Amino acid sequence: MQVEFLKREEKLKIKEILKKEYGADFSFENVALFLKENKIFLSSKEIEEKKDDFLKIPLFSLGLFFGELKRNDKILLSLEGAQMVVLSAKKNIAFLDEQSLRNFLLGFNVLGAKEINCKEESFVLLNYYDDLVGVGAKRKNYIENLTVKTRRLSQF
Amino acid sequence: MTEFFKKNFFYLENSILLKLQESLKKGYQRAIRTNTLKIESPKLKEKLEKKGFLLEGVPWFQDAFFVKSEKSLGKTLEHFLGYFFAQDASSLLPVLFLNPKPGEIILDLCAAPGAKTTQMAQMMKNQGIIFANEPKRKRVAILKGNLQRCAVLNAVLTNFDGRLFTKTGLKFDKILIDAPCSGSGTFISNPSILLSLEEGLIKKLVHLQKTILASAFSCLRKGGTIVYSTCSLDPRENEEVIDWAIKKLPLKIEEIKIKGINFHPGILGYQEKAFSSEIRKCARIYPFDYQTEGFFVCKLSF
Repeated sequence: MQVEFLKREEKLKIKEILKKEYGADFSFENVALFLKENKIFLSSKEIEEKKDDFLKIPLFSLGLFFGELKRNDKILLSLEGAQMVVLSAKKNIAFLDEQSLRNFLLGFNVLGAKEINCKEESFVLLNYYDDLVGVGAKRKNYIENLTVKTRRLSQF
Repeated sequence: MTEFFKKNFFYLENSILLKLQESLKKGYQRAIRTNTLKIESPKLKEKLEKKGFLLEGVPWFQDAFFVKSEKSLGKTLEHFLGYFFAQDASSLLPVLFLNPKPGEIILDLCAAPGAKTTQMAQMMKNQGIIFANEPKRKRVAILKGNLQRCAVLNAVLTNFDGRLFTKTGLKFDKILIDAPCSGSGTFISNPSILLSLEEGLIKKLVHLQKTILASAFSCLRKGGTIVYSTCSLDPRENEEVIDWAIKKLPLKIEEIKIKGINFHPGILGYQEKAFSSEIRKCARIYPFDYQTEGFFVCKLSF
């Protein structure tokens, strides 16, 4: 498996995007990062340190999918990535009520969420009380549901 | 039912057999393990209790709960968010025997669906490396999904036949083998398992279990440990495999005590076969002990 771990300056660039998009002060100090095409993955530091010992053997996958780098320097975060980033996020945040949470989990777009500094065409961190429940994209009158189909619920 | 039990568990003492049968009447206690990589246990408990679930701590693992309600947990927001992993309480034990620490490099040889891998990741605080191996392609995809849902970032997934992992040339200080088995100890949660226990299958499994254990040994560093476990009650899949290992390989059984749980010792013989007296140091849990699935666990050191 070909994996290039990001250097300090490259990590800093990702950190800056998170700051710009979400106002989040996210630290990558204790983790390693690598890109696979446009997808960003996190791993333990030990995986990076020992990579030469095992990258030559066939691997199925490694690390945690954190998010995807999009055009215009935006990052569409995975649910797990968003759960980490939201802890220090200050903008592009929305809060759902019970009905919109239900609709969101079933795969529908979100209407009438309480928005905090949400900018049109930006990715938005969706919350229900103190739980980060997913990520959407802010459109003119609604928030588009960006949950991948495999993680949507058929019943809730 | 008595005859049916006798037929399936003919290798157990009568007193144990009777209690096993009784355990079906008592019923099974479902359990969950908090995913502490995402949430702390008191917070999860509070959230689930607000939804009407009654939780009671598992005495041998501080971040696990018995669930006392019948309601479905799989449809809760907390499950969707990866806050917990539904896991039988006795299946928490193999990882406790292995005792993984942050920064260590560990092999989980038969990892899917990932209950034990994710338990290790949280005990290791997402540091170090877990080589999570699963031979079946479909199951490795499920494993990958569960590791993502639980926010595990210290795992490397491989898809080798466990018997051939040694070809990677990698060496480890700690190895977990939650071996493929007949699952006879799970009858309390899945009584239909008793219909699938065939002699031919057991013989094949025993051969596979020994080969996997030998392969794991060749990946073990001097001074390292292997934890071998199954959810079977059959001594052929358990004590016989360990007896074979300690006689053929330079491995010793370590007796383990875990706070909050008492174990039954290993069985010292099967039909006319007598096992080493060391086998007593293996641990057995029966479904009647704590209303969990039956389990066998043994820690071997090199």
